[in-house]
Amino acid sequence: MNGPTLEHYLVFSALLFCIGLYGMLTRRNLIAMLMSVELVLNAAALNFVAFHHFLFPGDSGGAVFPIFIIAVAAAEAAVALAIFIALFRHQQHLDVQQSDSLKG
Amino acid sequence: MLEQLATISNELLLTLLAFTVFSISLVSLKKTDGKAEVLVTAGGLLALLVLSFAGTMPHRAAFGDAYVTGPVAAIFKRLFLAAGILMALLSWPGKRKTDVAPFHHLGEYLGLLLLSIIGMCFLVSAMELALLYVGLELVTIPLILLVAINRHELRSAEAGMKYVLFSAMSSGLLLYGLSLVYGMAGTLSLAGIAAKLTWTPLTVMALALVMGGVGFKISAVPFHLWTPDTYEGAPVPVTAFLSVASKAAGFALFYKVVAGLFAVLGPSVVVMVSILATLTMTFGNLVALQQTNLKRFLAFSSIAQAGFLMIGLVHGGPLGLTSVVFYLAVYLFSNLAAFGVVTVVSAATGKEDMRDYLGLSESNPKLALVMMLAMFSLAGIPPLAGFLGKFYLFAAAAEKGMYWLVFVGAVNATISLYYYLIVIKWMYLLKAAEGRQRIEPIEVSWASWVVLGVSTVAMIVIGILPQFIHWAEVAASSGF
Amino acid sequence: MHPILILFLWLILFLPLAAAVGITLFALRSPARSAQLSIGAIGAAFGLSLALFWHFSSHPEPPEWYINWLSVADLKIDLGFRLDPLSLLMLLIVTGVGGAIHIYSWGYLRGDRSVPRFFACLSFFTFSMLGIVLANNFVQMFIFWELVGLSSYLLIGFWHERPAAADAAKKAFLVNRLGDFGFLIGILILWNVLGSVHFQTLQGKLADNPHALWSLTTVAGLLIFCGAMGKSAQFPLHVWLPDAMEGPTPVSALIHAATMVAAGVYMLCRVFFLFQAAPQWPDDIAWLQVSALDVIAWIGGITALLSALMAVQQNDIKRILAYSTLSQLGYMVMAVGVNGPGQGMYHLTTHAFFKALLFLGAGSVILALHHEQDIWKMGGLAKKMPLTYWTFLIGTLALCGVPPFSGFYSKDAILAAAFEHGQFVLFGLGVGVAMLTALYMFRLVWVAFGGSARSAAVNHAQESPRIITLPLIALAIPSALAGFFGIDHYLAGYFSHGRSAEAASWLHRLVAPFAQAPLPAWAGLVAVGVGFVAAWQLYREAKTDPLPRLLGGFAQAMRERFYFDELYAKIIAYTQDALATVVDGLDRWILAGTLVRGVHGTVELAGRLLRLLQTGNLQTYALVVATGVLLLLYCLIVR
Repeated sequence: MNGPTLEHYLVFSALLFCIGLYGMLTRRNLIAMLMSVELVLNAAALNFVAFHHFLFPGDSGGAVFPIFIIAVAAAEAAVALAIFIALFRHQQHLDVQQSDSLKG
Repeated sequence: MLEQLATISNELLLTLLAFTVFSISLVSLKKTDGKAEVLVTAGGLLALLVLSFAGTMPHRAAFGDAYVTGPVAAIFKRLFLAAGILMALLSWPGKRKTDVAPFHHLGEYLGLLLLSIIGMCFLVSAMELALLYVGLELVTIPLILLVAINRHELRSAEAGMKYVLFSAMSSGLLLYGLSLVYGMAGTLSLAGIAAKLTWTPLTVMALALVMGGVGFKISAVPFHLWTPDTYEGAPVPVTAFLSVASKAAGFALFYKVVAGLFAVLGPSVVVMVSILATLTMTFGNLVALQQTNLKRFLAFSSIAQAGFLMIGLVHGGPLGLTSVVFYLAVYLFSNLAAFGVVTVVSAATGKEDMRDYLGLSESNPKLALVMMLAMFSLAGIPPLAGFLGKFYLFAAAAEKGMYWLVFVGAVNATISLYYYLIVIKWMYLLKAAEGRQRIEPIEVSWASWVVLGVSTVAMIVIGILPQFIHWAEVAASSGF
Repeated sequence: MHPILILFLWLILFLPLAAAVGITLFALRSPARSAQLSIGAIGAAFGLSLALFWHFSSHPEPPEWYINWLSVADLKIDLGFRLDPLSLLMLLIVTGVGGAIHIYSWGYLRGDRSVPRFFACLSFFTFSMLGIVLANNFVQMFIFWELVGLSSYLLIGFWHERPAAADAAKKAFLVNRLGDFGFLIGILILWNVLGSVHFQTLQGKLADNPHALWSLTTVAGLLIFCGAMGKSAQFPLHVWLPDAMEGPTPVSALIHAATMVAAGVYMLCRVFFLFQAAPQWPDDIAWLQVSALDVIAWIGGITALLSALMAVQQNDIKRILAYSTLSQLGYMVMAVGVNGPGQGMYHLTTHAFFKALLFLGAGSVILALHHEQDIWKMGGLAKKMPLTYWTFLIGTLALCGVPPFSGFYSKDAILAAAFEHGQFVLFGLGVGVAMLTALYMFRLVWVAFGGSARSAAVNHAQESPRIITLPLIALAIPSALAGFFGIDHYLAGYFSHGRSAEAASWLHRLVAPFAQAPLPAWAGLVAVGVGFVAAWQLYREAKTDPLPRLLGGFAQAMRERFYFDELYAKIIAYTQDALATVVDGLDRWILAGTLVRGVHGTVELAGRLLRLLQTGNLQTYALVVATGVLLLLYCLIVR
């Protein structure tokens, strides 16, 4: 019993995933939703690192993949925030439930 | 190193092209009307398409087998390039009544388009998860910006918002699934994973998560919900590009990930795909029946078409791959023809409702003819290419013995015929005034004529000449 | 095959297409030029067909020529021409009868603004039909099959300003597609099990091993028959044909007499070898020991009877003929079902002559009366339009089956086949239909042509011009005499594979039915007599229709076509409504956001659920995605 094991990390990342998904489904603010998505991405990244560390220390793929994930997530966040700003200029709020001019 | 760079010369040249276009628009500081950008983009892509037959897409592995351009991947890349050329031409800034973007920002618009094409090319060549993921995001992120490029309009911004959050969520699902796969296989190489995976509940869970991510890309029901909203809000040429190139890339992804990685789950995948295909076709068709906005209508039609394509995916062998590749090509040109007409009409008059097309056959007979042929091809009426495409999809499923799926497909093909006929009815058959204003004769620019002409000729020629299906077959028989 | 003959075939097939393209490109503003192109093309095709026919009358071997068109994996599709007595005969019918109709159209539509469009469509239609006739494999046939559907859509909807015409065109197209599903799936089954779509290869494989299709034998046969049901308008897919009378009269004559509807019967004869195997059903439904042929025979018989009954109470001259077409098609299909494809083709041939004649005669009347189609507003036309009357009468006698007119021989052949096959109920049904045929046709003749004028329009009626009466005369000759051409022997030689047809003098043929199978011949004759007498009694001096008084509700049902259209409309409307409600509900629940909920009563419950979940637009989407993944997981694990 010295330090956390793989199971701990997996359970933690599963929790992160679920919290992210839950936030995605319940938060009304667009920025909060974006943050929730980031949690989901981080859960996946954590999985990769944990698997790399505990099971496949010889394979560098698991260590490198999270870096890609972080970089892409940053790009995605930049794009998303830019769009949110444009949207805010039109409707003066960021409530996802009231952004429904496109439907049907 | 040089040899490795030569292997990806197609992508490198595309990158160069993209930055050239960005630079031109920077240098010109929006003083020009953007014609230079369009010409450079279309010309560059055309040159790349020609060069692709002269060795820019060698069948060779690079970067430790992470990147291979197989024969099928080469076909995909050429389709992307062709779609890019037609999209660039469709954005030609002619005399326009409405100030519709992307015509304010043509430089950025075309550069982003090129970046997305680069992503698609990497995606179809990727033989390893990291490259696959980065390629996928490189496809999506520029497309998000393209959807929202008309930021002075609420609809465009809202469509962009929906698209970005939806795509982020679906890539979250995909990544989480892939991380589980990595945990079981211990490698990122697609072939290595496929060899190591066994049937466990965890594998099944990973498959379900991955399918959630891939389903978003190909707009499979129930992951399709973003499609109509995004299609409607985006500028028309972007919608067209989304509906053909992005979808084709999605099917490549599907083939690589769902069918490739999870080969061990073969029978389950077949059941899953056939259920999703049924749902997708039926849902897309039934909702399309009620649409009057043409972009939204074509969005649901494209959902239904994705369902038809999934029929071909059920067959794991070469015939299935042949039918899917062939149908993607057919669908690309047919849909581009339809969107081409919508773009031209929308740019000249701002009208996107099919009821506004009343009497189009008299005011603009050529546009109406192209639209009618596109509708017939999408509905699968011989001798247009759509018929042969559907025939091969059905034949693939029949060879698998899945007659019920063929039956469902055939029923759906008829339902689809019904709503495609509705468009034709508005253009050709209805004469009564109904207080609607007719569309005046539209002056169509040469660039748009090229797009419409090429798509129409392709629709007819692919349906009649046997070479095309033969190419697809030869390519499919030697793998992706 | 000799290269010259191949060239002939290419020309026959593609001349009409070339005419259609030529008209579209160059002659859209010139009615005369377009008519010349179109008529010239079909005339040349007729001439070439005659040459081929003459050439092959001395070459018994059926030649075939093809090139490989597409080949993927095991699927090989040829572009080929198959020439045998069947397709040669059909070529002559399509180009010959079609040619007469082309000429007639030029007279009929003179002055119409869209004549060039009409001729372009007509030529395109001819091209598609010839494609079906010449096809040597299922896929090629299917492609042209769909093209025929498409071009008929354009022709039926020719007067698209009329909503009824546009609707009829759509109905015809969609009902045909319904039958085509079955056809397509049948083709795929055949290809999958037997590995070929090529007629001759399939025939060879089935001849080697009659059980090659295993338990799918009957199913495949019936699915293929579905295609014929759509095109040849068999019960229950018969509803499109009468509505299709909204097209111009020459179109009715072409589509509904000589070509399109004949395609189904022709196809059945072409692939008759599929139906000869013993019935074989999948294990689950093996207790259904019915053969495909029996089903075909009964569907044909039922169609013949129902539509003959409907015809008795119609008042529109073209609709009477339309129902009579349905009824005759029923005969042909029944003939195939009682193992008599030769007899079916025989009747198809004679029917093409006399039905085209009748439609064109009706068109002549309609034109003379300025588009009046109600027979109760005609009367006394015999004196006004003698040429039309006499030719129409010849057509009627042929249709009713009065010897020595052609219809008698072909209909008798079918009755004899049913009798010989031991289908006595169907035989009786056929005799009954013969009686009804005489009743409704003589009703038509006496009401429209006999008696005295019932409307002012009749008083101004004049005989139609030469360009219209010439085709009538041209068609009247074979209608009267086709019984003596020896078509039955020609076909019998084909279907019994080499059994040489006996040469007989025409005098011999005149009495052949009575000599060979006296009972069916006399039964048919008596039936016609009864029908004639009934029509005489009821309609000789009638001012209004006496039948509703005599039959009450049944006559009403006959007039209303046994309510099939209403039934279908209800079913379709009901299914559509149900589906639309479900989908609409789903759609709104999923797609519509906070603003809509609470407004629409239908989505209120969904709306409340949404409020409970605190979701809005995009979040509902996200929820659906998450649920979708869970459902997938469930599906996969449960398996």
